[in-house]
Amino acid sequence: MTENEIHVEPFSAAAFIQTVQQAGGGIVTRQVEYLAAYLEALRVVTVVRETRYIDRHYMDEYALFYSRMLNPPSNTVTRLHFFEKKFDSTALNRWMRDAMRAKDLTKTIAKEAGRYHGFCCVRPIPESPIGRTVIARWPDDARPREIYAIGAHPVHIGNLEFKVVGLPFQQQEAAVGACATASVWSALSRVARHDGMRAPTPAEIALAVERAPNAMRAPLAPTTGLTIDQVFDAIQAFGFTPAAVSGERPEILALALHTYLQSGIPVVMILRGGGRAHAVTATGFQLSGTDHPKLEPPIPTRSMQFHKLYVHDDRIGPYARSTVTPYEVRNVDTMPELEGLRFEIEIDGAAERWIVETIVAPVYPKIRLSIGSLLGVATAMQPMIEKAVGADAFKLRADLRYVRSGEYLPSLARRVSATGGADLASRIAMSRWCAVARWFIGGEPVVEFVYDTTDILRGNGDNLLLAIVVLATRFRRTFYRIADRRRIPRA
Amino acid sequence: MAQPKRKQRKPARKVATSLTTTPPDLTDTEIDAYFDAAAHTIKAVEQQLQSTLRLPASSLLLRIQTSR
Repeated sequence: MTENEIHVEPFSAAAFIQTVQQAGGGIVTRQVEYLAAYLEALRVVTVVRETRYIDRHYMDEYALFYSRMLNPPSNTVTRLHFFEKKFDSTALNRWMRDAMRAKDLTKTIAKEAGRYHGFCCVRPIPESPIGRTVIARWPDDARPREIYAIGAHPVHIGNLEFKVVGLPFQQQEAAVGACATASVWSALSRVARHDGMRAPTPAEIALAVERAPNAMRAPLAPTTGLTIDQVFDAIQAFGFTPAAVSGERPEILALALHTYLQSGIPVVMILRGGGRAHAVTATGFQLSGTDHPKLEPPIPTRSMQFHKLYVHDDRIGPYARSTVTPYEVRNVDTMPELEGLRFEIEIDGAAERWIVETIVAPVYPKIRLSIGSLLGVATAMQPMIEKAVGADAFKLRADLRYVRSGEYLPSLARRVSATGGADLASRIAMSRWCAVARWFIGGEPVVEFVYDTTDILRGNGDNLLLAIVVLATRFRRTFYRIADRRRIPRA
Repeated sequence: MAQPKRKQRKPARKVATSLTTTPPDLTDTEIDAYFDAAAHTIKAVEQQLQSTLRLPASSLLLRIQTSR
């Protein structure tokens, strides 16, 4: 019989490192130290350790590679669960017994164990023990961290169910993948689950790329990386469109990062520097509070304040802090002008600098309205919106996002009048994903133009404009007039 | 018999006010003109971004190895 043991232990960074050392095979990697510090920052108090957990993602890697070794490791992992409050095995056993009696334990467990902060699978691979790990995001400080590209993961310990909201992370295992594999895997994990599909495993991604029809591309083999083309292939292989933005326009890069992350879509960032290349997955951001003039697209947007990014870097850990800053090189006598975004991340106590080569977001395949077109239609509407808001025009800012329509309509609760919102919801036919150009005066949302995403823009964009939603009541009459004139539903 | 307590009126909610007293009204002609002009702007922005929003043909190899 395959037996699992469940232990309840107090958390400390040192104890966590020791547990990973024992379960993983000995080496304390940078990722282990990062996770120990991160869990300390989350104020984890108790760890529940499962000694034998079947992780689908590791099992696939095992089938692809490790099982064919002369001395294969175990095909199971040790899984560690992290909790906010102190409890012991007696309490855990009591909850399991009560759950067997069909008691609702939600409140009891929340009271006695506190928040469930997530889990970490420890693989029996000495050099890269950190397998699939889903940890709660950083808590907010005085300025909120806008970490959107995360999703809910139900987790079971025996017969008990817990939930963590995060984006899966795993340390690169050089034999089976590369930084790009880990990065694409994290991004696809989120979008696949969000659109009701099964998240692919790293091994499935590696295989998908190896099977790409273009024979000229280098095949994936152990210890090689992926090319940019293969990153796109991998995204396409799992039914998503790789929406790319190349690195020469910092303001468009910042706008795209801001738009996709706000839409809950992680972004694979391909970095270049010093003859090397790397890939990380952006999950969230923090705005600086100050507009950067080099980040202004054709219209003033909130992405002009883009500065701090939270990324999954497989060399470091989940939600690692980094910054992006525009750069330009102007020396017209000797070389062409260069512009772009510089990416800076702290590693081993020193700042490491890269240039953003390109970014790519895995988007739902029926989103045919590109960021460029969305920016185009928002730019086209700007003069009318400026006129409509009168003297407040100089404080206007736009932001763009894609939203699942099933989430958009409920999100209008308390933002529009109940009657107007219900009327809109009952007579508007929406695509699965809609695009929203939201306009602010300072920090106050004023109005949003909602677009169908299943076609390209034609003519003046009327073909895709689904609704005008007024969020500031003092402008209701003005924007209702616009909507009525153009026969567009409004709320 | 004790009188039923009178319901206290809630103080009026403060509404954020803009610098303008009344937002200006747009005429039908103005609205149509803004929409008519949109096609040109959209095309211009899309064309400007055409080369930026593309899949780069690149064989840059992403293979930074993890720490050992």
